[in-house]
Amino acid sequence: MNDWDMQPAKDLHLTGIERSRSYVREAGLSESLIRWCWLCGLRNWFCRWNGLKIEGLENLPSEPPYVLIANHASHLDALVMASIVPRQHRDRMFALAAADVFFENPLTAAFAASVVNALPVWRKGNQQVGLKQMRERLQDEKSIYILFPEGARTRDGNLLPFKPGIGMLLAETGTPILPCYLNGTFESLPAHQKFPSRHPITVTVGQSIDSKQFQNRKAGWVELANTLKETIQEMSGKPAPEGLG
Amino acid sequence: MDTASVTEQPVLAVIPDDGVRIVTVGLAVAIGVAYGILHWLNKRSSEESRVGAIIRHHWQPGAWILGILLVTLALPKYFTIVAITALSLLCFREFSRTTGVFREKTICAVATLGILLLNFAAIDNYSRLFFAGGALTVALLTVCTIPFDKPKGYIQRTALGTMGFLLFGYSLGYVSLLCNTPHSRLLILFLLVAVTLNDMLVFLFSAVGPKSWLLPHTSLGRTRIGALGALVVTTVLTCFSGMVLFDGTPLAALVPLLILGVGISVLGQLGDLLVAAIKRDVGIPETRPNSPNRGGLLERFDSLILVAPAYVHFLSLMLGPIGSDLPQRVITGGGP
Repeated sequence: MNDWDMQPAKDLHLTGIERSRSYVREAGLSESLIRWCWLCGLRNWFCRWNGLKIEGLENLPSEPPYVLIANHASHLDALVMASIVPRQHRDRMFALAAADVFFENPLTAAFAASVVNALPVWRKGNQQVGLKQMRERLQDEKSIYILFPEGARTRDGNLLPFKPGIGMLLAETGTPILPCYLNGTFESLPAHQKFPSRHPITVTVGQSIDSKQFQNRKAGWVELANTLKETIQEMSGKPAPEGLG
Repeated sequence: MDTASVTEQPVLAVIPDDGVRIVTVGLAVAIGVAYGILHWLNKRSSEESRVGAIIRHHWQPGAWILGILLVTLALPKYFTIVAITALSLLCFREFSRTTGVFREKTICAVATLGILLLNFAAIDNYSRLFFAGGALTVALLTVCTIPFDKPKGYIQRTALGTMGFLLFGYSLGYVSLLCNTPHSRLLILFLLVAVTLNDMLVFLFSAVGPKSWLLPHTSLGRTRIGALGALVVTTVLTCFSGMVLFDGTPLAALVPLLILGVGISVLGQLGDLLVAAIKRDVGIPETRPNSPNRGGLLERFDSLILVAPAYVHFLSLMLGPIGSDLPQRVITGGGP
């Protein structure tokens, strides 16, 4: 018989709201069921309402860990990206979301944590601790992260500069990074709009980039961020606006 | 006991209502007094005292669900069974998160379905389905992960899933089964009150008596005097209250009531120690006064898990089969 290796939940000592905001949160059966239903419903909705098309799905690695990086144009982005992850890996998929938007209020935090399986990214203050914990989780638990390195939604449809925090999270980890381009979410639900309109959405999954080639220091972080931005810019087929990023 | 008389006139139906009310109200007052003394001791001692920690650890968590459970006793039996189902599921959830078996989703799904099946059987008043459901769920737990072809950890996950189901699904399910008696509300109330009182008496005697710990590696909160004091007082109170409660039934005699009282106290304390042993084994300390984790549902209802099946079977043995005097298989039909 093997040694006893079952351990208590890592978030056992946390209260409800602390658990929602925690980087070590672990899902149980009820949350997995809710999330499974939610993502099936989302995928169905996007396919019917927005005619969702996915290109390059074969580029997804067969097993986690990997990181999906995309342009950020709408609140729909994380939902669309989550819906393209294979069903068997959905429990290990986390969308990184702005903490000041989704994790300040206990109700939205509970929704973001239980249903969307989001992890908070605090845009103000010291991000080092959070990034370190997310980096550990990505490697230790073979997770899938969905990231929007621009840090905010675009207001005009053009890419914003990518934050070097993406490099701090991923440089030298060896985790495959898959740049994705989301087309149509900006038209469907731009920042100034409250409800989504009917507009075709296409997700293009690009070739994997090896994070090991980028050094885990400031120059490497910036290089990784710039490389990803250039790749997604190329995938968009649009020229980069002059004087930006 | 004359079997013919049970068939003609179910013994449980002749329990006097007034006596039951007097007893349960009396025991509830006793709980209030014990709780008041514990609070008084807590105020007199320092913030980090053991008494204060014990109150926060054992009595605050899960108090809300006990309240809901008591409220549902005033409603039709279906509400009580739904409340018991929710309690079973929440306790199983906490157990699975404590032991780590929550990561085995198939095991948890089977145990959850088993809990739902048992409580459905209770709603249906289909006792044979209840007992068969327990055995079938355990059988399913032993085979459900085999198709995944991952033998590593098989014994661990199956053992933990089975243990969790039996303790928090099957055992607590007996309380649902008890709903199928004419005096279910008062019998359940008596059970809850007696178990709660016994639990409180342990800590009350432990707080005021000499600090000779009963099982210091398992539970630091209880002393030998606490365990013995609770055993004596609970047994005496059960005997006195049982004489009134079960007046006119074969149970209204000294020996059966002594067995009932000792059983409630000993099994209640063992249930408490059982959960404490689980938590110590996985490395969770008993009390963390400054920690947000001050225990949970398991701490609040651990005393009930061993008492409930014994209580129901003892009543059934002495007073006739539970549920036999009410319509059976009310949902599935088909008669008994």
